[in-house]
Amino acid sequence: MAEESESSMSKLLSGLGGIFTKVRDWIVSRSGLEDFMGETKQKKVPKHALNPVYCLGGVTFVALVVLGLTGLYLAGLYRPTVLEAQQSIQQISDVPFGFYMKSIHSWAANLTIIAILLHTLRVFITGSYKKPREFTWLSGVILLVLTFSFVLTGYILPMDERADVTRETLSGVLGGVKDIPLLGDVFGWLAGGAQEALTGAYWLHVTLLPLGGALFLVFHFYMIRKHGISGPL
Amino acid sequence: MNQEVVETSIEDAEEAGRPFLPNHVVEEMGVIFLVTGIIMIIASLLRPEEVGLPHIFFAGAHEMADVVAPWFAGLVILLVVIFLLALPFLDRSEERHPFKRLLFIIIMLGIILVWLVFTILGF
Ligand code: HEM
Repeated sequence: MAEESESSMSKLLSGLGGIFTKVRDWIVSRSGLEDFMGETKQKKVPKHALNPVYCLGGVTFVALVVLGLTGLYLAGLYRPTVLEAQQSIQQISDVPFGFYMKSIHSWAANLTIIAILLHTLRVFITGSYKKPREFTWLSGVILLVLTFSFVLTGYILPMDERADVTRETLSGVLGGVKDIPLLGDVFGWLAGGAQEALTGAYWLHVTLLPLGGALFLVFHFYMIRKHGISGPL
Repeated sequence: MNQEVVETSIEDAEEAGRPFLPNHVVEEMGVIFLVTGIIMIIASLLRPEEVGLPHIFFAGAHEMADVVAPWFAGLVILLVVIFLLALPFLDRSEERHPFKRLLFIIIMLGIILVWLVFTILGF
């Protein structure tokens, strides 16, 4: 009896397995994933790259994905006006998971900075910016600037004490920029009033920076795939 | 005896490595769960505004802007970014070992040191 049910169980399982294989094969053949999968199956990760410091780019990426997802949630609840910003951020805590989403967004941002700095250091120490990986490095530096811009514009959004300090320092540090023709238009809001700065920061934080970031991330990954990971020292 | 070859060639390093699919992918998934798990645990235990960690990253720039002048801090940051962008074209030797590129290692250490000093002063 037990044997019988066991064999019908294994029949069911192998039947399910067969269906799974068929569906997978169909998706692979129709989507053109075939070549990609074939190539990927052959790939081996070199021994030296199994070292955890080679994981830091991936950790940065995971943290960025977490930031994107929680950011989508928060953007629906935040109101970018001087009068409402602080209040709307407090109100997020009243919504289910709201406080949790805010906290995760903030901690993931900290992790991103730590991970990206350590990743940069790893790539620098192993000399991986050298020929032929110049473009990988250049796109990385742009990603670094974008990441810090994300954090700075993010600081302005709550319109609290830290936002004032950030705005003040930014307009001092970038003081000369507002007089330069084209750049001045893009960064002119820094020297403007509180609402102007908030609108500018919010716009950068949720449109230009995510778009630019995604673009350079795709390019970064394409370059890594093209050249492979750098060899052992 | 085989050691030397493994150390110098990417092909041999790959040969001695681990298959990407499925071994490496499975481990990567583990790392992804670990990272998101850590973020979620910290996020549920600590309120970000109570810790003040974010200030640390920018304390150096604030301090430099205060002590010297805001435009000077801006210039220094701009020069560091330009240096990073130019690095692959400045350091053109084939050498990748850190001890064989001492000049650039020293410049980078200098940048990190200045940053650390201003961060400590500003904090
Ligand atoms: C948004 C941030 C970034 C992400 C998600 C990212 C992701 C990655 C990943 C997953 C790798 C594969 C190897 C590894 O993880 O170590 C990698 C390699 C690399 N990254 Fe990044 N990266 C970022 C920022 C940067 C920055 C700031 C730089 C340098 C200034 C940089 C330069 C490089 C270089 C040169 C490689 C090739 C390394 C090699 O072949 O050994 N990346 N990146």
